[in-house]
Amino acid sequence: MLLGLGANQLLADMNRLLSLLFHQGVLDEQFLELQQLQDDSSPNFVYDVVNIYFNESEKLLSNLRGLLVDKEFSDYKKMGKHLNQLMGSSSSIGAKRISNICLAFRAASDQNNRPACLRALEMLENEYCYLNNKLHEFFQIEQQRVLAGGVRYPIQQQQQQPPQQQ
Amino acid sequence: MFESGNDVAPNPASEKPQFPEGLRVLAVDDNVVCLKVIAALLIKCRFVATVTTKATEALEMLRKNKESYDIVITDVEMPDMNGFKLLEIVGLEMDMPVIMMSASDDTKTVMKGIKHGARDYLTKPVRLADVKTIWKHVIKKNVHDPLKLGNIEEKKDEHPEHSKAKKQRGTKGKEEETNAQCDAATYRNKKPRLIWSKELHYKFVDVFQQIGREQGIDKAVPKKILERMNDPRLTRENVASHLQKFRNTLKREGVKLAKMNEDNEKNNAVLSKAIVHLPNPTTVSTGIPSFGTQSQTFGAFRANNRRPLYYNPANQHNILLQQNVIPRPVADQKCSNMHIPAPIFSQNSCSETELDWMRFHSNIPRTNMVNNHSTDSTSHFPGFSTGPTTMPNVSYSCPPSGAFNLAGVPLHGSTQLNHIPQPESQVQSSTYGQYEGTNLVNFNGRGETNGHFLQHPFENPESESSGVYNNYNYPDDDLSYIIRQFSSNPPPRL
Repeated sequence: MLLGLGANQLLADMNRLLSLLFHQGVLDEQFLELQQLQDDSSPNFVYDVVNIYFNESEKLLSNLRGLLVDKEFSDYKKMGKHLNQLMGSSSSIGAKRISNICLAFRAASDQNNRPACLRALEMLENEYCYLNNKLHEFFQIEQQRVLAGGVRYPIQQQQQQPPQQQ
Repeated sequence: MFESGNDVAPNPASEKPQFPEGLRVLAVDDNVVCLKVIAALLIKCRFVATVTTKATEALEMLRKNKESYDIVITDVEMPDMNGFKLLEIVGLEMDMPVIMMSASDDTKTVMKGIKHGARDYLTKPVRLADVKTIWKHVIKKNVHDPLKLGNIEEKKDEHPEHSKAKKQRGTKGKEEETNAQCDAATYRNKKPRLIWSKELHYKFVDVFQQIGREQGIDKAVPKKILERMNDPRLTRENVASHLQKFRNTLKREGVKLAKMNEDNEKNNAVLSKAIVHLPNPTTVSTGIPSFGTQSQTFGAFRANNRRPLYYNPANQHNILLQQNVIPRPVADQKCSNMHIPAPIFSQNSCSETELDWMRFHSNIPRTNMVNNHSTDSTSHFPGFSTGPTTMPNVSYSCPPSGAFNLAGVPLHGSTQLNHIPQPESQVQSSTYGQYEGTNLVNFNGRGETNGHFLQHPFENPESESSGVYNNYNYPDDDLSYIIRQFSSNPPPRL
């Protein structure tokens, strides 16, 4: 009973955090879609995907910085490719704000507007950090909730209670 | 408590998967995040997903075992191979439906994908709703390819007596067979309707004319045609009904079958008075919507068919004009005069080239931004836009309109002319025997182009390309549509 209450509390925390991120425009409904895809066969799906996302985008961001820092830089085409990558994966996990900045970034890069590119990159890095922090917080709460309640997801109740519960 | 509201899927192994479950999808994306999401989506739909991050690898897999995939989903931008290239190889060489996806919803990229033959174009993020229905492209493709549909049916069919029944149906041509089998698969149980594809029809016309030349048109009976065509798909009934429709259409359009007989000199003297010699060879191409090959075929056709076209000013109502269904972008400058209502995307009128990018914050709708700078990216796709407007010749969902007659068309009179005189030399020089009978100009052009065309015989006698129009085949199984094309345009040899 108590455990259930604790789990409910944690679930409320998670939902609050999510709705904050939605409200801020950091995430969009694609993130919910991602959650729908998580089921018994892939219980850590969202976490896994988001983890890969952070690893990949960190690489991409450092590549972008490397390109822009270079004084002789002129390879806007390559930058566009990196941006496309980042945009694709960001939109796939529902990182709306990042993909929006990517769009602006690409516009700047299409015009070979280097100062604009640099500003966009800074914004991207900030957004990346923010999203990273918030999602880590989110997954931490989720982890606690799993430990506390055994119900991993509000949508899909589990057939068998995980062993942690006992 | 935990059992209630449980929506866990039944074990797929325990029951026979029902279509579209088990659809075998090959997903290609160099972006691991996207790939993982797509794989999950496909699995959620209970498709059999094979995923790879390398286009070259995907190609290898397909080359090795193309039969084990039904459909391919590919990203556009990949480092080892461009998605368009993959689309070209897979879609055209292997004839497998390909769906493209990309993060950018840039109009030009989407258009390029569709024009290159992609069945669909998904913008990332790909959603469950998008993926759920991809099977329709597999069906769509097979509907136009009865043999393939048959294959798939037989493959998926696990009742031996069922497939036997189907074979019987195939040979006897009985329409209704009782299908007591699983009702969920009713679509499979239906006898695949014989579709007179272009190729089949070409063959039919070939044989028909062959017999007509050798033994006379009257001798071209279904049985003989069937024998000569020697196609397992066909039954005598198929041929008979097709023949009947074919003859009717010919009659209706005033193409005289007797033209195919070469002994028509006796009429020449009488008729030549009524016949005006068109100053220029008028050629009409029969377009096949394949990339690149069109122009060559077309060129060959023109070169070989510099035959004057005769028409009778007295009879003015015999030109059939059909609307283009999928207009081909034509190289012919004449055709750039066409004002095809480009339905979409030609309005990038944003004069603001210098983008104040800082305006972009998270709430700006995506499309807005894309529109704003899409003018800049024109140069990225050099082969793509042909004119000042983005897409001068493309309209996607134009339904095939029926043929209509246009008054005031001073071309070939059908009713009086039993035999069209053909200068002997020209007949000989043509390598295309069938062309001899093609006096009826029947072309597919947008309505707007018609007036333009019709002026030529009189006002622009010098114009070389007066009759050259983009002429597209619509993958429709409407027989009369096909016939109408061929009554004047013999099947091109590809």
